[in-house]
Amino acid sequence: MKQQLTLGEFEGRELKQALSRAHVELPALTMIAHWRRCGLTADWLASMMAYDFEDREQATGVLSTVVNELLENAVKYCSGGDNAVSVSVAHFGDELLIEATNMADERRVRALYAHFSRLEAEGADKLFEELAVRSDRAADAGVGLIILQRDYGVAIAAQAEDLGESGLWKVRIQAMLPAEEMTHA
Amino acid sequence: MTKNDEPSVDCGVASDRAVLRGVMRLESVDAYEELFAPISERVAATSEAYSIDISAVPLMNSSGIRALASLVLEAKDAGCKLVLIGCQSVAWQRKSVPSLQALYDELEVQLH
Repeated sequence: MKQQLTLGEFEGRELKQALSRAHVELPALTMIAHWRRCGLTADWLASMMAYDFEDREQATGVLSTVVNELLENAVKYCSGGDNAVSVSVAHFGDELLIEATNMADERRVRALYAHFSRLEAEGADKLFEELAVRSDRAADAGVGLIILQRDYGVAIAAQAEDLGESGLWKVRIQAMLPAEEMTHA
Repeated sequence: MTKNDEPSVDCGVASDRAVLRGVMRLESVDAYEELFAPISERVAATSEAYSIDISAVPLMNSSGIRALASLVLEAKDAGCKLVLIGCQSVAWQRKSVPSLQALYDELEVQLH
């Protein structure tokens, strides 16, 4: 039987209700081979969506950071280089919904679940300090989500769907960013 | 990427100061360790105050922020007072850099 895991307050809002929205789908292999493309994609999406805001420079900087973190994670943890990753941004007025999608193996899904549990139990500040003092590379995973939650007021949610015989899961990570974070307050 | 976006570390400005420049979105902590190696060497070799100017870094990803946190912890181990100099107008610096102070009492953050 296929499983579905949901972590946090996963948003099922109809994207057609958004004031503006954009969606980009990219081959994971292309992004891995040319890492800078993650940043270029984030910058482009941020510039386009920040056009709705008075202080476009600030809005672009904040949104580019959030999009880039989600996209980098999607590319890093994508299983199968021929699979695509996608990222979308939807502006709902007082908040923006950023979502990244990738395929992952079960091990990655379990790690994501464990990370969410620790984040909920320990809080972002404590978990960041714990990961900062560790020297192993695995500690790098999840730091981006902690920073988004702690420093950008972002609410993080995730959904993982078992795709069956392939052994792969479709992972969707959402970041709900308050629009007030887009200004220089 | 334009020439000005290229990430760089300049430790030659002064013996007690490093200047970081460019968009810092490297793919891993390993890549940052290589880039920041000259700073690590100087921090480990001094017990005087050392400054890192990040004002000219418009964007940094979470691997970079974790690498900065590692530099803070290296300064703590060496007993070296560390000063991070940045800009209030740069979103990631304003939002994420002050929280590094929780790692080390002798870290001073100056955001202009």
